[in-house]
Amino acid sequence: MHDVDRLFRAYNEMLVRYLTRRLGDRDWAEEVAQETFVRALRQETMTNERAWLFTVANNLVRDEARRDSRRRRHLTMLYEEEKERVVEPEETTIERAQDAAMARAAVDGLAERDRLALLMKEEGLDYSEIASALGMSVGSIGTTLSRARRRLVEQYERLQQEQQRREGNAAS
Amino acid sequence: MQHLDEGTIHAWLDGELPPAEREAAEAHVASCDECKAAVAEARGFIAASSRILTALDAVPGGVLPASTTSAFVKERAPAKFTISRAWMAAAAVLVLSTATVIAVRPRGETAALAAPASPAEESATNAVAPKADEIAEISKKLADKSSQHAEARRKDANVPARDSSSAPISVADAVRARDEEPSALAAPKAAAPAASAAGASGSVAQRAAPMVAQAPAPAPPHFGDTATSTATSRPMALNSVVVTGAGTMTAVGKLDAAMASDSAAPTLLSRSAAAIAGDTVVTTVYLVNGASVTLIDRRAGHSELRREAQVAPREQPMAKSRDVSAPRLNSLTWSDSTGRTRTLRGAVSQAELVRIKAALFGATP
Repeated sequence: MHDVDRLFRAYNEMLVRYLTRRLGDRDWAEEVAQETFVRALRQETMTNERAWLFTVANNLVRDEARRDSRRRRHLTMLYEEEKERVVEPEETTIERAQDAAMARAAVDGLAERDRLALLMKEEGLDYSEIASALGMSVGSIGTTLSRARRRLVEQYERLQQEQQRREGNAAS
Repeated sequence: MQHLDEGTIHAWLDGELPPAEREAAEAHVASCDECKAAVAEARGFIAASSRILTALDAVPGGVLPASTTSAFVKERAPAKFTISRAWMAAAAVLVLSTATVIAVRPRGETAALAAPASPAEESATNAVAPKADEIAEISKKLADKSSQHAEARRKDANVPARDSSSAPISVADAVRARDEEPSALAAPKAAAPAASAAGASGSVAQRAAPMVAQAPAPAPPHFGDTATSTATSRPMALNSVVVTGAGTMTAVGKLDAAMASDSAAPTLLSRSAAAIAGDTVVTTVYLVNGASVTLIDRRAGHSELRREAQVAPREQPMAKSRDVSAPRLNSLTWSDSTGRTRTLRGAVSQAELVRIKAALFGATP
């Protein structure tokens, strides 16, 4: 058995952030992270702790998403509807929310593997860890990441331009 | 040396290139403007994507379960409104179902048919398995009232029907028949329309009562006869289907299907049993050649019932029938030595009744 206290302190924040970015929901992310550490308790050996945790977290998300993707979609839709009705009091908050929405849309537009590789890289995982978590070869990670970054930025900029065009239309 | 591919540039910037490759890359970039620009671009992508991903952190928790739900609840109107809407919906269902029954009822219904809606009958039929003493008590009450009801029925058979009476009657009938369903749910469901119908039909019965008060010889008191009356015409068969069908077909659909079969063999449409005056009366409606025929099977030891068995079959014209050409009502009654009385009634010929009797019970029942 592993020293879960240590694992948790070392990786929980990273894992939750990664999952939050990936899932768009902090509570869900925390749930998955928690379950990941529960699995770690039962794990006899881990050659690479970080890679193992991210692999398990990815599997948990995939399994859960497969199980109730429809429910999630529905709830996410409700959330979006709800969000549209919320009037933010401060302009900076609106901008931030718009920014987050565009970022979410851009990230969701990536291929699954590209997105996961990118999110894991952002959490400091190295190429071998990412390769291990995604079942890819180390040599392909650079290409995967370069594609993911380029597409993310391009999609985000496209969304930003659309947003500015809408605002321009609204102003004129 | 070849230009660096994008993957290699990113791997280099990420510090993931092995030392030998890294040195070669650095050397190339230093002398290649094209690759220098590509590296600058890659740095931009790395920084920008990192910034974009940071924006994702501005998401709330509980996107899915808690906060969404509570926000919805908060925005909703007060709970009181929700409750009243629920009641409105329930009322609408009740009104609709009542209206449906009104629409399919024949006009020739009588005030006497309201009898089953009396509280005593209601309790008798709502009980899924009534105890013996309950039945006895109910039977007593029914006996007290039945002469009035029977008289009213007979009287009304000769006068135009009051439309106002038909709706509650139908609902009461529905309750009675529906109680035959094995489902425990059926009883409470049926109880609601019964409660509402009891008042209206009760008043109809009261109105009828004074008119028959001086009648010299009241008809034998029994509800079996009432049941017959409610099931004599074709529309009545529909009514029976409405209330007893345990399937998911609509009443009209069921009737259509039954009519379409148009079989010479009696098809069971509905069956209901009631404890009346201490006796067991089973009313069964069959469909034969598109016409409904009612069988009343009564096990009785009372003298009055034997008397009923000897009453000549009344040939009641179908008052205000929508189908003028509909055959007149005939009935065939016979009893056996065990005090069991059976009556077949339907808008078919006497010969047809005999045939049906033979089909159901054999040549000599």
